[in-house]
This record gives sequence, C-alpha cells and structure tokens, in this order.
Amino acid sequence: MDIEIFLGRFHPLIVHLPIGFILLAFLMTLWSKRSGKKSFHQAINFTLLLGALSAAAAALLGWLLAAGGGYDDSTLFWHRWLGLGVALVTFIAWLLKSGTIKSKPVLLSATLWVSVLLISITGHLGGVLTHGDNYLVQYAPGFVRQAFLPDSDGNEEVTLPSQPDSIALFQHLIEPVLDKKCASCHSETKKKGGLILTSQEGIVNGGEQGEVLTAGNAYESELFQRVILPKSSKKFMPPKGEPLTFGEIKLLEWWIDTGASFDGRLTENPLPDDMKALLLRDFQVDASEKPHYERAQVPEAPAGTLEKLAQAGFKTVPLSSDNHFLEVELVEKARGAEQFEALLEVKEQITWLDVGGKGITDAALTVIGQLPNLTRLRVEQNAVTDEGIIELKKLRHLEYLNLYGTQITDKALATIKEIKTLNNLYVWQTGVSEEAIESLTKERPDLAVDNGFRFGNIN
Amino acid sequence: MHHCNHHNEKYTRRDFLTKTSLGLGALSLSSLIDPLKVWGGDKAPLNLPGGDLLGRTHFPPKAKRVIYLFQSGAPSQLDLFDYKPLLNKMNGQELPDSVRGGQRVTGMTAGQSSFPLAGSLFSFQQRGNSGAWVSDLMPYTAQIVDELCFVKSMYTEAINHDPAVTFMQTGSQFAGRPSIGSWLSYGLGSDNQNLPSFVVLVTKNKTGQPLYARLWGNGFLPSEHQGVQFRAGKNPVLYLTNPPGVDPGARRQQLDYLKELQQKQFDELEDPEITARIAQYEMAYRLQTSVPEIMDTSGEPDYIYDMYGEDSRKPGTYAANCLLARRLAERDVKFIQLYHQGWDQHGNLPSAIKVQCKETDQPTAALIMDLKQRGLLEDTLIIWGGEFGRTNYSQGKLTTTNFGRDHHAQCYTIFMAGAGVKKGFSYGATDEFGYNVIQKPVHVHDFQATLLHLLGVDHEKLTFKFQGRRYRLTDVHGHVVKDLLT
Repeated sequence: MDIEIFLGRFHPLIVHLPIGFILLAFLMTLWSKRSGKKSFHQAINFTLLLGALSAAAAALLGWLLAAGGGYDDSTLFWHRWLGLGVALVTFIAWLLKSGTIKSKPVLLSATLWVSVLLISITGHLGGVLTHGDNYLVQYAPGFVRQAFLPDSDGNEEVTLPSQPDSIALFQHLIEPVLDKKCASCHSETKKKGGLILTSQEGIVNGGEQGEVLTAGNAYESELFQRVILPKSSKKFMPPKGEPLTFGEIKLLEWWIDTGASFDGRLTENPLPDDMKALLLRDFQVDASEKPHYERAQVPEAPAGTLEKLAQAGFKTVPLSSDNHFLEVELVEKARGAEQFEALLEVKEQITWLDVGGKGITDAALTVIGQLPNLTRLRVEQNAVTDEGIIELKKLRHLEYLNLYGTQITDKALATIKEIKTLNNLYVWQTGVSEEAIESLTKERPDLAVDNGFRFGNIN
Repeated sequence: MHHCNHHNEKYTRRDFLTKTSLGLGALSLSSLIDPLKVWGGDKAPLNLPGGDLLGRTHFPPKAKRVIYLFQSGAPSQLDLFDYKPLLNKMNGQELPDSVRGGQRVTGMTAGQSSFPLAGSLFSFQQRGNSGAWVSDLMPYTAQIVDELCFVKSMYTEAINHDPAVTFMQTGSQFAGRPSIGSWLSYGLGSDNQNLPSFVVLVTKNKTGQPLYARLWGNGFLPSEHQGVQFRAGKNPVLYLTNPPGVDPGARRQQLDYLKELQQKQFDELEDPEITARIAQYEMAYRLQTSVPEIMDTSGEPDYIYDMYGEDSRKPGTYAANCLLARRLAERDVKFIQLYHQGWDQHGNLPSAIKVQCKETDQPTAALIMDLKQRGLLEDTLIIWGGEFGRTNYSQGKLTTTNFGRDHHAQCYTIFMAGAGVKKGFSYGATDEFGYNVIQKPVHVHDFQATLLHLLGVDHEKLTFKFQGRRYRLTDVHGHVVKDLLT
C-alpha cells in the first residue's frame, strides 16, 4: 500500500513529460507542413513514441496515486479515463506516423489534434484535482471570473437564520452534511448498501443490514459509528472523498444524542459549552443565552408617546440603535400613581425600569405589574410592601428585581418564588429573614439572592 | 469643522464643495453599488456630521457605567495574583536567556551584570469556590474572588510609565488622544444632567510617577467631554464656588448675560468650542449644588465606613475615593476614574507593596460588594489594574528579605468585576517563569475594545474625524475578547 502511494506521488512529476513531448511533436508537425521540409520526420516519430510511453507511465502512476483516495469522484473519473485516452491516441498517432499502419496523412493530423485536445483537458482536470476548481481563475480579471465562477461568493454555504432560536437542527445543520459527504452514494439513484440518506424516511428505514439510527445514543448508531472509525478501516465512511470534519461529527453526535428529531430547533435542548463554541466558530452563530430583550422584538414606540412619558417625569432611552425596547427611569420624586399610567402607552417596549428611591408606593406597582416585557426592575429605597409585590407575579420575563431598602418581609418571597425567570434578587435592609432566603434558594437554586455583605475576620 | 486652520468659519469653500458636489456624488455612487451601505453598513456610526452624538448604543449595553481603579506605577502581578512557585525554587538563579529571548529590558536594569530570579516573599493561596490565586497581601480581595474576572495575560507595548499609562487610557502612547472616559462621554452622553459624565478622583498626598490632567483629557473631542477632577477638601472642583460677595442670583444673571454674548459669537463664527464653553458654564452652575451634596459623606452610616476601612473617613484617601465612586455610580455618572500612585517598586518591594495593599485592598473589595448589595454591580463595570507588569528578576541586589522589580511589558494581571463579565473566572496564562504570555494574550487595544463592547459600543464605529482622518480609541487594532463576556 505504502509503496503504491510512494510511487503514485511521482505522478505530478512525470505528467509534464507527455505534455511536453506531445506538444513538441504537434508543433514540429505543423512546422514541417508549413515549411514543406521533411527533415523533422524522424524526430517527430521519436517524440511521439516518447509521448505515448511517458503518457502510459503517467497514467499508471496516476492510478496508484488515486488509490490513496481523497479526490472528488467525478473529476477523478474523467481525469483518469481521458489520461488513458491520451496514451492510447498518442500511441495510435505514432503507429500512423511510423508507417506501421498505413493511412492517409489527414488521419494522422486528426489524431494529433485529438491528442493535444485530450491532454489539455486532462491536464486541466489534474490541476482541478490538486488545487481546486477555482484556482486557475481566482485572480483573473473580474469578467473572466464572472464567466467561470458565477457563484464565486461562496453560496454553497447554507444561509443560516441569524437567531439561534430559528435554526432547525436537522434541516440547517445535519442535512447539508449528509448531502455533501454521503449523498453521492446513498441517494435514490445509487442506494449503496440499500441506504438512502437524502430523505428522512431513508434515514429512518436504514439499509440492508438494518437501522442506522438509534435516537438518543450516537455510539449505538451505525450512522455515527461509521464516520468515526479509523480511516484505514474497510467500514469507514465515506470511503472516498473528504471525511467528515470534527465539527460535522460533533453536530451529528449532538443531533442523535438529543433524539434525532427531524423538525427540532437547535435551542430546544440546552446547548453544552463545546457546542456553543463550535457553532460560533463554524457558523458564526452566537448561541449563548440571551436575555429576553435580545431575543424578542417589538415595534418602535408610537410617535408622541415618549414625549408624554417625559412630561410624566420619565426619561426613556432605546436599548440600542436597532433594538426598540426601552430603558425607562423616573427622574423626579413620584407625584402619585396616576403618573405611572403613562407607562402603559409603551408597555410592550419597556424592559428596564428604574424607580429606585423616588418615593413610590404599592399603587405604582399595580401599573408596573402590567408591563409584559419587563426584565429589570429597580424599586429599591421605596416604601413598597408585600402587598405591592403580589402585582409583580404577572411579569413573565423579569430577570432582575431590586428591592433593597423596602418594607417587604418573608411573605414577599412566596410571591417572588413564582417568578420563574428571575435570577437576581436584592433584599438587603428589608424585613426578609435569613431563614426565608435559605429556604427560597433551596427551592430556586437558579435564583441568586443578595442580603448584604460583610467581610470575614482578617487575622 | 475641527481643522485648526478654519475653525472660525461657518463653511469653507472646501467644505461647501465636498458636501455638495462630491458628497452627493459619492452618496449616489455608493447607493448604486450597495444601497444598504450608504450609511456605512448596517450600524450607523455613533457620531453625526458636525460631531454631535447619537446617544444610542450599537447594541444593548451590559454596563451602564464604569469605575476604573487605576493602580498607577504598575503593581507586581508576581506578588499579588500570578503565582509562580518556580521563581521561589530558582530564587537567585539567573533568568535563562531562552526565557527572555533577547527581548528588551528598560535602561534601569539593562546595565545589570546579572538578572537573579526573585520568588515572591508572600504566600499564595487559592481562594473562594473559583480557586483564584491571591497572595496574603490582599486578604480582603481574597474574600471576593468569586465576583472577579482576572485577566492574567495582559500585555502592552510601552515599558515606561507615562507612555504606558497614556496607552491604557487613550489607546496611544503619544499624548493628545481622548481618554476612554471622554470617548464614552462623547459617544453616549450623560445620564445625569447635574454631574459630568466623566469624573476623576486622585488619591492625595501620594508620590511616585506623576499623573497629568491630559490623562483624562478630551484630546480632539469637544472639550465638554474632558474628565472633571473632584478633589478632597474645601473646593472639590477648583474655582467652582462663588467668590465672596456674589450670591447665587447674581451668578445666574451673570451667566445668562454671558450666554447671550457667547451665542452671538457662535452665530457669527460657528466654532463648536463656543457651544462647549456655554455647556461647561452651565454644568459648573449645576455643579455648585450637586458637588457639595455628593462630596458630603457625613450621612453614610458607620457600618459603611467600617466596610471601606478606617481611611474612608479621611477625605482624599483611596478608601474615601472608593466611597465617593459608589455615590457617583448611584447618581449614574458614566465613567468614574480613580488613580492611586505608588506601585512603582524598583527597590524595597516587599515593604512598599504592603503599604500599597493596605491602602487599596479593603476599599476595592468593599466598593465591589457595596455596589453588589445595592444591586448596582449588575450594570456597573469595575476595573482594577496598572499600566504594565513587573519583572520576575530582581532589580538591584536580591537578599532573603528584600528585592526590587523593574518594568515588564510582556505580561501583567488586571481584574474586572460586574456588568457583563464572567465572575469567578481567570483568563489567559503566563509561562512558569512569569515572563511571557503563553495562553490567550490580551493586548491593551483588545481590552479597550472589550470595554467599549460591554457599554454597547462597537469600537470600530465610535469615531471622530480630526486632521483629515477618522480616529478611534483602538485606532486600527483591537478584538473583543468574547471569552470574558457572560
């Protein structure tokens, strides 16, 4: 095996000989025709023989090289057979030229033209095999590039939705891999081993030897096992062409391990850190957990509403130039509950609200509880009580709640426990007891409760 | 408009031609090529023509304000956070040439005949649940490591103090560029009309490497964006109080009349510096009430003073400044910059660093935890760090009880806490000699890009055109260190 590849690697060296010989024979033939001189006759004869022999040698070495695998199948097919064709046609040309076969001179001419044409095509295909198909024209002037590579913008990449929530695990991430790496043999037309990987039924039905997919367990699935075998194994897939990349293998494993669903979303199951890193690297998909205001979208606040809020004493700032959620802050002492009614005009948009230390009461919380997209709420240093907190139960997306310096007690924690999205709670300088906090964090380990800080003793 | 040679003209002939013919021509051409890119891509630049600011971030910010605790003089990472037991094992042995690899050292030690490795004299322990290494020099910081995000692989290009501090604060080693706080004031505006958006507090009576007002200067940005220094003592902001005999009413009248005059001049000349001056007079007027209120910490309870340490009762100390920083953060000052000098320990490091740590360790930790219990750490970013690191070899004679460390640009440690950065996290690593970064290097520009990112700003899009080209804090460099972000 090794010796074959060793010899095979002389192919790129040797191929230049037939190219030179055949072109030389061709040029000498043209020249002798034009000038009418016969003196090139022997030389042409000899060069054609060398061309045929070196073409045969190159073809043999090429065959050995191709056995090592790793080349695009259809290109290799044409390169191989056209290369053999070159050797054959050139040999015929020598037979004609040397007079071993008697014929009209025009036949010799035709044979030579065919030989030159064949070697040009074969040579080009060989270049494509080694360097890739856009190597030649990659730096050509624009119009040439356009003609040869109409889709040079790399549109073979699947366009992924930008939001990880919208990515379909199978359709966007797995199917393209199967199409690229497996479909050449496992399609409706070829069906190697009876397996079709181009349709969902095919994947589920498996091949002649049974099912290839064990949902929930990649290592029990033939589909996965085959691609992680050592490359030298006879069962390794794909047997020809490029193996699956590390990223593709990890994706396949994740898909099977999470149930091999054909219509599941990428984010249906919590993504482990290595998958997130992989998605970011290979697909530029940032699958890190995002707060509600970066996942959801709302329309811009209606014209005139922000002015109303300003009159009511609220400062509003959009979260960013392309995010219409609002950060709202009360910038003066609270006048009364009716001033808060203004907030309802943009209730969809408000996601951060700061009314800390402005003298608000429970009545204001009744309004605040009606802001469906609120994620951050600062009510600290106000005379609000357990009664008011009950109003906050309706907030479905609240992540941060600052109640330090308020009049709440342990009773409020019972309400707060129900706000499932909450992960930061501040209750320093309130009536909340340590015991109540302890029992709350036992039930809600995802919720960080801050009740003030004291340094330990320093010796 | 900001070119020095035509600052006093409304529009020059050149401006007119550029803005009409070429401007419109270029606009229509670029819209033909790619209609989406007319306005410079999908994200509009923060600055509008004429230097006005948009006041909106590029993406939702994690941090709304920053407190930068600048440890000037460069604290020794090898005695505080970057634990290198090999240096103790090889104490006194020569720094191997293979480690230094021919890299430059400063003129202060270049003449030394030997570079004896100096192990730390202080013992290290892993702290908290995160297991971060902190030496016994910082017993208070050691208690809060689970809130901190250490970057152990910082490196810089400068090896002397002034260029290095200037580099950290302005993105350039040369004086004259705007400071980070000025960029943010310019790009994001103010959240509190009664206080400057960029406030500077310098520990008083410290000696060591000098600090210059240009470190918090506005550079080429309009001058209302410069940092305003609050001092300890009777006049926190110089020349702010009314002179004897001038009452607030008279001051107001005077300012109103002055504003009229200045407005007239502006209508004539359209020099943006005139509007900057009007804005600053108005700010100064508001500061007359807001500054005394914020500087008066007498209402702070004893347990807060105890938390920040005894020093916090003495105005002008680092501890008192940390307490002020919290008060400023509560009032939504965007960028609060502290400076504490005295970390430049070329000799007598073991005794000098103890003094420095005593002054800073408790207040720093107290500030972080005080913000946390008030729920402010959620959207406040705290940064602790110097301008470069210190060498693993001794400057001067190495004895069993004494040594010094020279400047070291190849690696140093900073830490951050709060908004948007991972907590209980250490990033990057140096080699076992503590000389070079071997894992995940973070350049000063990367740090600055990450800082802007946390505030919702794309560091490539916050620009200001000056002397014919657009400038950025990170110039043409910098990558956001995504691994540090939550």
